[in-house]
Amino acid sequence: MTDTLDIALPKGRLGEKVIRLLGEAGLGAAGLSGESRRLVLESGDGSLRFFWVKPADVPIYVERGAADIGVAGRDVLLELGADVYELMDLGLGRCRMCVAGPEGALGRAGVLRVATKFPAIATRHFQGEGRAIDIIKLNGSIELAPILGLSDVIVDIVETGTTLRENELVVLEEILPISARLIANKAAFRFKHPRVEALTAALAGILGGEKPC
Amino acid sequence: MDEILSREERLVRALRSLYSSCGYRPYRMSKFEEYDLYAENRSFLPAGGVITFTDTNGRLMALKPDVTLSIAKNLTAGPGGSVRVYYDESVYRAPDRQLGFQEITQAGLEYLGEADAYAMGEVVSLAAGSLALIEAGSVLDLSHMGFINGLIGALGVGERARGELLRAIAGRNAHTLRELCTQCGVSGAPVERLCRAVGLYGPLRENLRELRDMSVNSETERAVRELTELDGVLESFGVSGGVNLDLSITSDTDYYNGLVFKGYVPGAPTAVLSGGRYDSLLTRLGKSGGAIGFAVYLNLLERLYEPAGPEYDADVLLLDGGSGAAGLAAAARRLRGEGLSVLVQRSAAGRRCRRTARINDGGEVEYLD
Repeated sequence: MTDTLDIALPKGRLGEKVIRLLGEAGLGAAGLSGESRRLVLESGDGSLRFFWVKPADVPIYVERGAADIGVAGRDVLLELGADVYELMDLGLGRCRMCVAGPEGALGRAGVLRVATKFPAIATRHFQGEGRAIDIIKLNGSIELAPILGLSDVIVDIVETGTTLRENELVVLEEILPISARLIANKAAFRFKHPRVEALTAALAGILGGEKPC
Repeated sequence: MDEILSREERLVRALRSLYSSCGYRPYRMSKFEEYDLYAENRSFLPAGGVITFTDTNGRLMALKPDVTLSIAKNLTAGPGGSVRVYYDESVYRAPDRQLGFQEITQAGLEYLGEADAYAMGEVVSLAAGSLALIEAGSVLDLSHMGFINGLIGALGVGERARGELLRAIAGRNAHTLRELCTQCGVSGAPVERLCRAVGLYGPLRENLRELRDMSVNSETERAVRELTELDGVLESFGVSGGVNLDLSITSDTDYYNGLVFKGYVPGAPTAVLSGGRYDSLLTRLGKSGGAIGFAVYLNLLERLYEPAGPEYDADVLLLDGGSGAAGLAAAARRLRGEGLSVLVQRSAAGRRCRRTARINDGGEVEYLD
């Protein structure tokens, strides 16, 4: 195990926000930007190493120890059920996981067809309600499913609700709020504890608010 | 002789020796067990399906998914006595229907009998000793389910919320803990106390005072008392320095009801040792007394034990240069007599040896590199 703290960052908009936050906490690296084509970047003193991965893969890199810490959305963490420490709510990328569809779609008798990118979250939610469902796993353009009659409802992330409105769909139920979380590998937390704690404290100092575990 | 053993085999031998030094005896068991045992004690099993089959008499059988359950069922400590056994066995699980089956090799020990401070200290010190045999710089972290259950009990939440709180505790997830408590209508000191407890991490002794300060009921007091006694015994065993308190270690089954612990070694991304006290399993099986044990997950050490350099088939590759079988046999015998391993083949194709040699016209071994 090296002394360098390996940090997995999610590619895309969330990753850009995380970089700004790390920069404010004095934890960035020169050239660290979502636009960079370099997959691995080190801080000047070599104490931090960043790498960009697909957002849905961040928990896997951290759980398996390829990264010591990472930033992942709560949606991805709940969907994968990754065995990691969730050290802090970074408050970035706030949105909601919702059930959406045409008005009144949930009132349908019988099995509910649910299109989603998040089958585990959707199954848990409807199981909790004792509702019989048929999960249809899709990888994108989820809103299209009820419009074309592929599903009765969708379970998806809603930010502003604009896409839903433009397609005459409404939020029928809110499942849970989503935001980015700072996660840590359980072994790295122990073997690099002072460094993980210092980084967590630095980010908490920038964000203020609640004390992390 | 030792050099032909893999590092894992040497470790298993060292573990047996360690456990034997405290009077533990080897225990062998069948790979098969009637499925009923697991069906009746489902809540004591780790996540993952049981692999079943029907035997020739039509009974539903299972490939053993767990060792402890079998030992707890089959062995009983006599009055004033104890059962001390160790094992190295494979268990079989189907972690996910889409991912096929999994064989988990593990070595470990179980203590059945009066689980007093000495017995707990002995088992925990053997766990620490096991980790030290695996890799230098290992850590053993422990928690107490009684303390966690006491803090959750003080919140006054229902059983369903308790399960979700335990998941958040296992993830050191203070924000979700607060969120869940808010949903249950609980706020203030009990919630902050739980968050503070989950955030603790460090040497057991240094954190005992804080645990005492956080104690809220008889359950937490009993847990603190047990941990304090354990700390004293561990010091006498000479292992207290390497043991940390980490209350995020919880049990996702009904298995463990008191002390729980996990061990980590540098280079392995997950815990390689897991154990704890499981008196409630004995009660469920209609037995009295205490029980404590642990398992080392040998399959997780496979990558850790991969050699850093190249692996060789033999020390010397002796090429057949036309000297005849008798000449080759004589040369190979001579080299083996010098303590070298020798592989004889017509060409070097597909082989990796430290040195390559042939037999020259004079019948002598001539190294080519």
